[in-house]
Amino acid sequence: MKRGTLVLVGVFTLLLASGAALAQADYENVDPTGQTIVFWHQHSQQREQVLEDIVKKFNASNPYSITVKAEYQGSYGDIFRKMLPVLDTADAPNIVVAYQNQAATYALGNGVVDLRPLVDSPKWGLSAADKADFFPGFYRADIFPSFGGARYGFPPNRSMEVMYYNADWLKELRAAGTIGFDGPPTTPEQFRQAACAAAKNPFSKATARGSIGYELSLDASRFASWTFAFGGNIFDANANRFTYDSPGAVQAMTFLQGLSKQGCASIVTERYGDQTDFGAGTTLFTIGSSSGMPYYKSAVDEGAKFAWSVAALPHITPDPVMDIYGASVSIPTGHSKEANLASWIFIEYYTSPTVQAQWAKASEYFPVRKSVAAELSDYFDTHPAYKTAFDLLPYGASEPPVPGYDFVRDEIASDMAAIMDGAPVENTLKTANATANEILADQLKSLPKN
Amino acid sequence: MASVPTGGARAARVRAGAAARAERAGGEPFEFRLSQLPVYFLLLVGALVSFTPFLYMASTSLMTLGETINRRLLPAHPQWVNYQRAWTEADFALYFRNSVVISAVVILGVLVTCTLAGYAFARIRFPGREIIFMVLLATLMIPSTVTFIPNFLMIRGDVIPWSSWINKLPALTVPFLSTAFIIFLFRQFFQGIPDELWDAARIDGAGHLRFLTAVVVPMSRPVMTTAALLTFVHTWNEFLWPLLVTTTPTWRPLGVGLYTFITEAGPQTHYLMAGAMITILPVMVVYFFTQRQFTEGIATSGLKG
Repeated sequence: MKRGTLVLVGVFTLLLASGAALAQADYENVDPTGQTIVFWHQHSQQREQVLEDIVKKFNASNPYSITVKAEYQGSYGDIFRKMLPVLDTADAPNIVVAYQNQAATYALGNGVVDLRPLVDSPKWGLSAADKADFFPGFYRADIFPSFGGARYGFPPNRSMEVMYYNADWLKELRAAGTIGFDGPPTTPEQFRQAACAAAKNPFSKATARGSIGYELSLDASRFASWTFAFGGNIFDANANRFTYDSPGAVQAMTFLQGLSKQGCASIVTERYGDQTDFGAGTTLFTIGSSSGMPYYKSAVDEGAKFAWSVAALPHITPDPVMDIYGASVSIPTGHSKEANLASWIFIEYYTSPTVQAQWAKASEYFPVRKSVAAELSDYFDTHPAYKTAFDLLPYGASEPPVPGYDFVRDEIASDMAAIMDGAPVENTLKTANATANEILADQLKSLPKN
Repeated sequence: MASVPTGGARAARVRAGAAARAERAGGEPFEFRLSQLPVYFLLLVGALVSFTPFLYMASTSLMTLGETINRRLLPAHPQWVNYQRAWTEADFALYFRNSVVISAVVILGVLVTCTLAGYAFARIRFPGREIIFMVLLATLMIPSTVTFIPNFLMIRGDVIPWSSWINKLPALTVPFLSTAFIIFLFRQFFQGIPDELWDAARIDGAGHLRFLTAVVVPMSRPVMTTAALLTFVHTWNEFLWPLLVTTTPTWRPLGVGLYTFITEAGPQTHYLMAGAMITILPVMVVYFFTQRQFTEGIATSGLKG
């Protein structure tokens, strides 16, 4: 009996190992030679040029004669809308930029490839040292527990929500005695004090009329950032549900509504109006993506020319909690294994240390590899605001990578508008949360059963 | 329901209007009346409200980035180089050509199909004509974005099995070769053609097609110009549909080209406005030369009721 059991265990182990080997071996004998890969992205102007340069170098140097064609397809939202009707068809691109929640939606339609066999492939995948080189949070962000741990994307870059502030204006307010602290505000009360003081005391170097304390853009990421700053969260991963009515969210929105009512904050009325006003010295604070830093720099250099920088959002938590986000790149289904492998080879190149350094410097996104950060010391010296933001990476949190989040984001932006317009915060957020969870439940009905 | 004017009364009205215009063109002086002052004031306000965005666009298109940041009203020194940059950076030459070709094809298609359809609804009695026309009008209530997915599936060959038109000219033109509104416009105009003309044509042995081509179409220049102009403006300004059905720049029109100036993290307002000026200039030129026929076409189609 003992011998028989041993034999059974042995056979079972062999079966398991061969199964695992089979999964790993999916791409081992695949030949990517001569494949043409279409890459849909949202970069335009200068970033598009840098990306095209990266693609050109890859096309010229890769040993498999793989040709990548990078194609601008509009904004993230436009790409998401374009992808939905072509999921799992040959019309889908070979590589597409996708936020994690978008990739989750694609996965519901069987529209993205699980990258685990590629990433873990002995022949084509990343070594253990390579994997360890990625910032853990970035590396794990595209792994979906809801989908059995599948990996549906790979990160080429990241950015974070930061508070942009006019340092010279803060100094003026301090000198005038209208605020009682130095440097950027670190608590909501300091923030409120400075914003309200700025609304009444225009910046001396402003090059346009008006004086706004905080110019708020109505966006789900702003909502998330402020909720994190007030110690809350917008999603409970354990319960797998949204928590837009959590105490932290209610506190955050009540705070912002109060600022608006006091005349210390106003809503952005035109696209990138907050950047423009910041550059002209008429807005003390804005909150937005760190990837906007080159545009803020241009705006200030061409505008009121003052000292500025970025900082963590004012928070009641002991440490800052920074909303870190960024689209990854996914491989849509509908193509051959050869094409998928060729796509992965390009993604590996795109996320390799040398290319990451080039991409980070040109785009002002954060690199996803730790080794690249070590190479950016000169860049940090010439871009101090970037360094400040980079140093906040250890405090990262992220928005939920769940299907349907794109639709929830639209709802939340409308709810923020209503709140700033005076709608009761608790009731509005209760309704918003119910709607968000309905959307999520609807999406999760299509989830594959594990 | 208001009665539809007969063909004879409508034609008489057209002739009277034309006579009045001719009289004015002959040099009758404009008379200022104090009692009309509130009207003039309202018209002036309306004109300013309508014209200000255009002035802003023109002014911003000639500014430096700094002037847009500092919210200047007028550029200190006009930056004509913005137009050159917009033209070269966003590949405007290609997009301009595409917009011209797409607009020409769609205008031709609309004029042919809607003339035939409008004539049929106006002059040919067939079973279910009124019901079909009501259903056609009802489609005007459907938002265009609702039709995107069905149209997309059709042009991709999912509904009728033909080869995909993605990235091809038919994707940008075929769905727009006929519109309910233009059919309605033509129908209203053709209803005003005097029945006597049709009787005379019949006596001469002409059928509907010959009557349409030999008599009706030559009389329909105003409404044809109106239809062409409206179609041109709509097609020229299209953005979302071309973005959806093109993945490469080959057939992208100007609207998509403009979009590249709105980056994901910051504005280039001065280039964007320069690009916008390049985009709307043809529309303005076309309207400038066809405004009289346009106004006449709207008036004689009975849209004013």
